Amino acid sequence: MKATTFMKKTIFFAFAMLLLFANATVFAKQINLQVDGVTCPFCVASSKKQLKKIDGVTSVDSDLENGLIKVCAADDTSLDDDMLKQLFLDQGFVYRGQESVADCEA
Amino acid sequence: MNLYRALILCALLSIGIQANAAPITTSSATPIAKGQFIARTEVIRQHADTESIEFFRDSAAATLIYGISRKWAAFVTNTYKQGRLNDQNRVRRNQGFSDTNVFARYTAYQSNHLGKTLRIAPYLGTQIPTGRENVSDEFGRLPVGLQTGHGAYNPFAGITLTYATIDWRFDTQLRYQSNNFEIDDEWRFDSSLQYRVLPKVLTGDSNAFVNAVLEFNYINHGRDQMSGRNTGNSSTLFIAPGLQYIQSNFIAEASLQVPVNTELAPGMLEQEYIARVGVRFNF
Repeated sequence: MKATTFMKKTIFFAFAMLLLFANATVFAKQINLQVDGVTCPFCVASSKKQLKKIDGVTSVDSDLENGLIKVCAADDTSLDDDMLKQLFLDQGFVYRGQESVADCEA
Repeated sequence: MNLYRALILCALLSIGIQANAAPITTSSATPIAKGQFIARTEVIRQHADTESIEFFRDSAAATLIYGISRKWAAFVTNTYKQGRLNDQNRVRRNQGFSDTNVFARYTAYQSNHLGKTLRIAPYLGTQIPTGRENVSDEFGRLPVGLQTGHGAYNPFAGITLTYATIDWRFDTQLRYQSNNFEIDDEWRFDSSLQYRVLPKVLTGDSNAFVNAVLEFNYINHGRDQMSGRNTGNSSTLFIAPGLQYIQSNFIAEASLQVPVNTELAPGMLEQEYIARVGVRFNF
């Protein structure tokens, strides 16, 4: 009986460690999008919502002074330039390009 | 006061009231994204008077904006009005929903650069007579200014220009409205300067602004043609200082609009002030 219980605990612990490890291996990268025409927090809200709908995107922030929209996304997420160009065109802005940064800012 | 004079006063009163329908910072060429909704509500208190007449109106205005495409946006506005006129010993009141303004705006030109944008957008619309223009009380038909509607489809058109940076922005518009109900046409020219006062220095995580706002509204009405009399043009220049708190999902704002120069036909009510508190959401 005791052996069975010990076995169950061991298996549970092993699964927990596996999940923890699996999570740790999903890296998130930051992609900075250069966008022209953004001048206030209210103006950029709709763009943030659209970007958050993209698979793999976990958070979106903005740096108005530098004209950047910072996207945090899973490592395997690809943001296509043509798609982004159209997305920002529909928002009333001009997409200039993107730059990948190693890790997401906390 | 005889009936004729009362009617003339009421018509003039309505000119003065309409002259203050300029909402703070609404008329702009600000981008509305395709598929985006913006809702705006405002609570407005206005006071106008002459030596013997006093007028108060409290209003709650609602505007819904929708981005049809990257260049086209549709606007619908209606207001619930509650007016009171103290005319010597008489107090007259009315309340109800106003006429509905429906219009479309087209972004004809835009130039975007890092942290700045220039946009020009003409618009065209009409006032739909959803309000009532023939309400009476024990003293007879209410004056035009106390009615909630105008009883006619009144077309209007305008053009707006916006130049915005992350530090300040300037909006201006020229607008013309044809009025088919007792009062002649209206021309107006509005300008608004908004300057970011907080945060003084932007950082990467600056997600809320406080803007100081200063607006000017010049409004000119054609002559009053009621009863075939010509009362002459009237014009008023308003100044409206205000404040805005801007976040990504909403803008809260307040302003006080006061006349600085008024040329009114005899007997016309003069605006004392218009106070506004409002909020806008995007969703």
